[in-house]
Amino acid sequence: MMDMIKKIPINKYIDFALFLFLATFPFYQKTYWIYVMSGIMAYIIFALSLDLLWGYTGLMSMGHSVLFGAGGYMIGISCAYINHAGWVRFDRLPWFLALLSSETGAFFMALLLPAVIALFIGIFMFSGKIQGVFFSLITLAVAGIAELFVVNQSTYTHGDSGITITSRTILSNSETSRLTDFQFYFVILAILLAVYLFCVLLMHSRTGKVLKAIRENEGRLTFFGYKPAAFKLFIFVISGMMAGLSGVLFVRVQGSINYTAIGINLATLVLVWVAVGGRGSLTGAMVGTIILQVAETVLSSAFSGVSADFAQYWKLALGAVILVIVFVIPKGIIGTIIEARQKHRDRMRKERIRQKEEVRYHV
Amino acid sequence: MSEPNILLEVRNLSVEFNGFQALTDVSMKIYEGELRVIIGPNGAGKTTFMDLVTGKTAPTAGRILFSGADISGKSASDIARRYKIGRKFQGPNVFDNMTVKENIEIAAEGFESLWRSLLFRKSKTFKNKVSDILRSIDLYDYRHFMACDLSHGQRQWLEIGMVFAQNPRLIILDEPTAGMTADETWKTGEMIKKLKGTHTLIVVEHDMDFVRQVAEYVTVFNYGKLLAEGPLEEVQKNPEVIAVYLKED
Amino acid sequence: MSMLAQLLVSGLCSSSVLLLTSLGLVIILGYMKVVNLAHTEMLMVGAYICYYVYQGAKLPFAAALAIAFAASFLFGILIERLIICHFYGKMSETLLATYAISMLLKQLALLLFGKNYKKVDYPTTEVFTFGSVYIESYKLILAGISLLVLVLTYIFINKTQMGRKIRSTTQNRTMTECLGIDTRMVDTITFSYGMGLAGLAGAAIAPISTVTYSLGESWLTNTFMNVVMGGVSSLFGTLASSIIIQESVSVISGLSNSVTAQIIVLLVVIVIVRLKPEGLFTSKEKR
Repeated sequence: MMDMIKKIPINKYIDFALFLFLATFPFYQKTYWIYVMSGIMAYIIFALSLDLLWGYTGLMSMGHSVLFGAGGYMIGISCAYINHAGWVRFDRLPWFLALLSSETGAFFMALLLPAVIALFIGIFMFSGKIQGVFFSLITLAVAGIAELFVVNQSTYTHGDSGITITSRTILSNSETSRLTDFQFYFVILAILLAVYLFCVLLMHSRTGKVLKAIRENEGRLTFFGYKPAAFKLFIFVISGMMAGLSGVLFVRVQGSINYTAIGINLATLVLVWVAVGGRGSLTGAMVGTIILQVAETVLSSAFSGVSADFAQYWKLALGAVILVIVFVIPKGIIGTIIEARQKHRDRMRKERIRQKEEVRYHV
Repeated sequence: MSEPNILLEVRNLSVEFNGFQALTDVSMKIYEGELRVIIGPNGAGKTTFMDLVTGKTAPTAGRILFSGADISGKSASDIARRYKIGRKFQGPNVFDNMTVKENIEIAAEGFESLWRSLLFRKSKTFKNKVSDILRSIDLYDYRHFMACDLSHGQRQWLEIGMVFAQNPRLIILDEPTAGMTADETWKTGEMIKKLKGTHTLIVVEHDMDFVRQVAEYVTVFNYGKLLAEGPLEEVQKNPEVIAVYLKED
Repeated sequence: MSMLAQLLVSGLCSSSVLLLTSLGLVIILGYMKVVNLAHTEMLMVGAYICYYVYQGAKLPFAAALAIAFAASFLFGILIERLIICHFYGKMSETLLATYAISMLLKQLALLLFGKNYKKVDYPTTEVFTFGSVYIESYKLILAGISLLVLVLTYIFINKTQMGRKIRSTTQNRTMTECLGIDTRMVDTITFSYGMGLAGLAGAAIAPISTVTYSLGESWLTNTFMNVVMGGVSSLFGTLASSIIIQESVSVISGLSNSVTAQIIVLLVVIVIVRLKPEGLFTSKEKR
């Protein structure tokens, strides 16, 4: 039993503490902060989806927000259509968006569309022999295109004004079946926990190890009989669906969505969250997102009285933080902790090995 | 006594890159259970030969037959998975930020497809197999270390262990003792000798002491062509080989 | 028909602008293999310099261009030595570091210069008419500037001693060092030259752009895709690629609207890059 406990990696303790914190949070916080933390939890799921793709598999997507925003917009468009929002001028949805006429259909589409986009991009990119940097640049370009597209298709997306929705539930758009902030917080927490457990299971399985091997040395893997493209496609689609799910939750919490949720700004921001926390541990993605988003909210309310330019100062500070992280702790907060623990354990192990050899050779 | 089967046969194999003729008209037969050593100066085409057999490169002429089946130009993952040819690179070429144990587990045969990998459950047999391999390469105590934290020699052995885990029918080792101490080299030689008979091996090497430790039948490459072939003593006395390669002898 | 001619001509003018704004990236992304996410923010910096030097201090336009180049070059030296040189070869770190720099530049600009758009007057205001096609004289000058910068860069890289050092460093660093050349200095010069080009481009496009802190954002996707399609380190490849991209956008936008045109062209570029990642115009390396 002690052996099993010793084997638990240190970051799992941090995960546990984190969930404990999240579970008890609403009991001593005001409504505003419950609302804020609900949004942050949606972002955490988004960051986890990127960690699967970038941290574990080594695919640095600079356009992950496209999958997030696709999910969010499905809910947004559906809601606007069903509730006959003021700006809606179209009578019928295009055939491929037909499912948006129902709430459950919209939820389904919000997971399906990102999955299909990821599938397309994945098949397109992974069937060739192109290097990682091209994947990053092309996903960046896709984010740029998505932003343009969403603003341009204003008939359905209300252009740069974005879409506002009113209900606070997962599956329904009605005004009456609204959950309270408190209830909704725990719905999201439950989803986050489920997603987290899914990620842990997947990444600790053999498939997760294959994905890590792809990150480490994809070429070598083919000589062991693997076809990395299949695995990359698999994780990209899973990651896409998770991102879409987080987009749904985000729209429901926020009550609105616009092109910033699908463009380059959010795409690069989520990379920062995961980089600051540390990639490839799940914990890092969660910790990075919480720390940065909480800091932004706290500092913004602290400064909003003092200066209207808070957002600018915050971004300045964020830029400086990124530079510090890249220089001092390139593996991120959690990554550095895990590394230190590994080094400590290795020292213990080396000591044990040395002792064994002494016994062996001194008989 | 019946003649052993031919496991690998190449016929008139040639490959050209951008006008440079890397291999010209190479024909060779490797028998099942054999341990063949390939020697030759740098640039002679030894690595290119291995690239062709393992599917890294496609030939421009000639054929590669494995147990009778034509594998010329097939992909690397096909050749590794279906035909079971394993290769140790001039390396070491391992998965650095994963543990020693994980490296062996990934290399283990039978679970390469996405489907199999999702359904995989660690059985007792599997765990024992991994432990056995770890012990045979002397890395059992190091199984929780990251591959990048091992010494050079240990990383070479790790890759050798990974190729064993693959359980290939043909094992190709590219300079397995590169960078090893004399002790480690000797240990590696003994490890390889033990495999003879139950496995078929092709070893490419430069260290002539090591070659003398393990070799019986030797093939010599030079300038992309087969220069000489035969038992070690014969090849060592061959004047052409001496002139081109074994100058100090 | 005359509309087509007009579209083609404006397309050529935009091509020269795309070329000019991409040249700095050819150097930094192409030769140094550094993904510089701060590249387009340097365009913004150059534009602001032009505003204050030309519009504000009423110095000649050419002086604004020269000062923009020099200031960006010096800034390049600063950040290369302090930041960039530590992360060569590490793509994720470089991406994050250059992203941080771009963020800092944007927010500093916003804090220092405010949200209001600044306007820079055209240095020349005549409009030439050829039949039913009209070209603004400044656009012609801009085209001239891009071609001039292209040729000067070509000469710098291929005909000067410094350029030879740059080429040898990027092709075989170890060998170059064995020859006694200070490759760290070469790196600094190369990077700063790329930044200088970006600043210069920014100043040149100031009259035709809205000078604001977010000026760089709209150029990011286009410059990167342009450089990659042209064959990342090919100067003339990028020229060809600029023309292909902007002419296509121009012609297609005549048929629908400019946003749809951009989206279609970008999608096609992505397909081309996937099919030929070494670019349309690179010569195969001899191995």
